[in-house]
Amino acid sequence: MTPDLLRLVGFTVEMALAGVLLTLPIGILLGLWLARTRWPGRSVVETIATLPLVLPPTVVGLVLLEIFGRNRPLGRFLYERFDLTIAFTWRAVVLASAVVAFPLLVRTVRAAFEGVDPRLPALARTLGRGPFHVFFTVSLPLAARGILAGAILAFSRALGEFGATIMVAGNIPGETQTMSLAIFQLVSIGRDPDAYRLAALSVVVAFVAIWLSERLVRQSRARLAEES
Amino acid sequence: MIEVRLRIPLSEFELSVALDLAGPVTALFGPSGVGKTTLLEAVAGLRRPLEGEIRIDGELIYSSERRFSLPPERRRFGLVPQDALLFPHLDVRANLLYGFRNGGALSLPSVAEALEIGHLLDRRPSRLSGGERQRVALARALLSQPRLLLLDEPVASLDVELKDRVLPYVKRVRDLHRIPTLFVSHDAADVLSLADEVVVLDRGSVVDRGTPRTVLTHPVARGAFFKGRFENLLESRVLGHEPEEGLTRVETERGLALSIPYREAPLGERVLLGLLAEDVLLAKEAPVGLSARNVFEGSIRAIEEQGGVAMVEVDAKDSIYVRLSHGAVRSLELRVGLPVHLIVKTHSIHRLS
Repeated sequence: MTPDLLRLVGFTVEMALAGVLLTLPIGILLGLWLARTRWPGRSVVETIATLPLVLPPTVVGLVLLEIFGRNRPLGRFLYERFDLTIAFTWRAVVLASAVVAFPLLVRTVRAAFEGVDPRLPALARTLGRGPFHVFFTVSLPLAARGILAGAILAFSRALGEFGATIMVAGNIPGETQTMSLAIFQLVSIGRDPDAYRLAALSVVVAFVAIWLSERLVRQSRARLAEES
Repeated sequence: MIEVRLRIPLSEFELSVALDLAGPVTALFGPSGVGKTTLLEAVAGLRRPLEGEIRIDGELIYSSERRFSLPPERRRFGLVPQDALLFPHLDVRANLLYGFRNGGALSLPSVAEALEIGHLLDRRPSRLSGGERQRVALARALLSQPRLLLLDEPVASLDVELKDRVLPYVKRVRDLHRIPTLFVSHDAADVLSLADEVVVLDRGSVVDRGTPRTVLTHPVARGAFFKGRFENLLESRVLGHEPEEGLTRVETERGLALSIPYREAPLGERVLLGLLAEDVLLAKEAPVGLSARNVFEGSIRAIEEQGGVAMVEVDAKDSIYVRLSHGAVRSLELRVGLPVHLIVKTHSIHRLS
């Protein structure tokens, strides 16, 4: 593998990882809330949170561009106030990964929290521990494997992100170009063998991610069954 | 002193109680599904009542009027749910120490010794038996130094053998630590052996209360047991033994003579006997050539019908309730005042205390 290729794989993994880490806190909170609330509007919230999974990624990218573009209110504010450019930089790659992976994370996290008997944290509080302590010592550990599985699933999705990324981050080699964008570019300029090599490499990365995720989910389920 | 005044709407009826409990050990008694657990959970702070007020020794715990609710973690009420609810991801030691509060009278070694769970400390809850789980849950609640213990059917989920092992621990906790206790039970025998006072609940309302012996041997508590297995409770005295026949003769306070399975006991000892309403046969004429030892005459005092079943109260010196089918009442043409004979096999009568 050439250093260029290595750098490309590294960059792609880094961006996907950063995207997942960015969504993790919000994903966990929203997943927990969806698992616990009885508020009738929860299905609306759930639908909105699922939208990026169903919409064409290009639409997601377009919406992000509308929000974070240099000439858009938020984009301009971030640039003028913090000297921060989002669109067509690596930050946009992270952002696109995060938004597109978010629904997968939220749905898995919700299922993980739903698998925790709500009476366990309730009982923990009667033992004299406050809600934050209880969350970190009971709810979160019991849902941890499920959350990890969700994060890996989200990571896999982010790894192959294409549509939203190309809209909001462009396809700039060495700056915003990930593996999937590179494959697209290689094919369009006729370097098919290189494209195939890269494609094979992404199969390997995706395979490992999915396999790991499935294993974790299975272990988590087996443990819950054994413990209940 | 615990003062509880609560209203909680449930799916089929409303739980509505107003109680001052002097304790130290109070039982909430009644068949399943009448709101006992709900009441316990509301006191623990796991469930918000529609309205009401809870005080313990005068301190306000909850008041809908003042929009005040002490969060569960500050109530210091130790809850032991029916299914123990141990934290599955923690070993027994970590479970016990989860709510441990220093400075109280109870320490891990002393509680572990009293409840005989010292050898289980490194185990996961999934590797414990039912009785062990109950004891660990009880110890966990005790170590949080509660000022009130809330026990939900502490021994009901256990079979008889396990029950005989766990019950002594609950008694020991009651006697050693003198923590006021509110416990839920649908078993008259458990109530008799543990409680100082019993409150009988039916469909969300208090229908009777008093000392366990007076309440449980008194017909008022009965209405509540129509659906479930209803047990006649007979306060009796040992009259004599016939070991070669395998019998012990007793007499109830009102003079009903009974033969029960042989059991060593000094003459004159008071025993409480249980007899399930469904184990009593009823005949209109004196039966002949029967193997059953206990046949007594009486007359029907009341017939209450509900669903397909009837509870027939027979005055045979003591009041004995007989559970019959609707059809049996019809075909025998039973009516109040009718003289009848009751037939009870020796082995249908068992000792409760």
